[in-house]
Amino acid sequence: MLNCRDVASLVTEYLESAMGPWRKANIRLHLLLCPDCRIHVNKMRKLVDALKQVPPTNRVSEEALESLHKKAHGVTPLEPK
Amino acid sequence: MWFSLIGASASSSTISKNDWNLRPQEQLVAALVDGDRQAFDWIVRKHWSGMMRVATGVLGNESIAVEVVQETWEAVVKEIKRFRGEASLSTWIFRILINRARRVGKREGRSIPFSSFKTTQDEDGKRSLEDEFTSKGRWRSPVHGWRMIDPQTEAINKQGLAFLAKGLEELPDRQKIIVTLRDIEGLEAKEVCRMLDISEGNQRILLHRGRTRLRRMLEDLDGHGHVSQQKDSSHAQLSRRR
Repeated sequence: MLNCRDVASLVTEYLESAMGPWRKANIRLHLLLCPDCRIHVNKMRKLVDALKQVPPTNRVSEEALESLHKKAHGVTPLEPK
Repeated sequence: MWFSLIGASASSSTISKNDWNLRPQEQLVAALVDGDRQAFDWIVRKHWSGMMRVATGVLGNESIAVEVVQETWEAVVKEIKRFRGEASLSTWIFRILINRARRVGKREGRSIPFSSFKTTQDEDGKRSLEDEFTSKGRWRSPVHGWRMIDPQTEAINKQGLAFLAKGLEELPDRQKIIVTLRDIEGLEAKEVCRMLDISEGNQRILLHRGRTRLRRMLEDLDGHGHVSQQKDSSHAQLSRRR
């Protein structure tokens, strides 16, 4: 039977559905019996969901966007740096 | 055709950036083919941060990464007519980016050696998974839910998201690249493996380690051990009994 450490190390595989039915059934059995691991798996699910909403850390400036647009569409050449 | 119809019913300035999220990908591609400025601005803004993170991760240098990202957009505009939709537009754009970054990195001697895109001990961080478990493989202390939760949605709140954004930048390069491509940009595992030329197993290990680091970082900031007493009290009691 799997222990909590096994489940924690398999959690990405489990959430990605990248495991066989036997292993998945073993994890589900453990989750049925272990509230800590249920919380852990739920936390990881929320973490993955949250990553989809993470704010951008590097925003393109309006000037860079304008310059990029012109260069990409061949409007005018970029000014030298 | 569709675009001229839209243009007839609404000026381009009235198309909010969210509109493109709601439309089918073919419409966005058609707009880009037509050289539509709103569509171009929207997609550049959407992917800029992720592209910068990936390019910086591959090249290890932000100023070279900016150049590679800019060149990628030039290539996207030039090649968009050839886009056939076999993969998602995001996948296609990131594939161009990574190919360019690898080429430039090789030339400059800066690129992460993708051939050895396997996990290394230094990427595990100071804390290992073992720290959290007893010798019998049980959690050392009760596991608590996130504290930084929006009570209405039950999702991680804005403060948590801001911490995650910061944490992402601090991940080791390989984990940063994989987490960005998979979890932020939403690319398929197989596509990511193909573009980075790594096995699915390696991809998953790096993803797992990246997510685990972020989880621990958020737990440290979240006040792990003092969290969600109301919600998890029954779990905590059970854990203490075991």
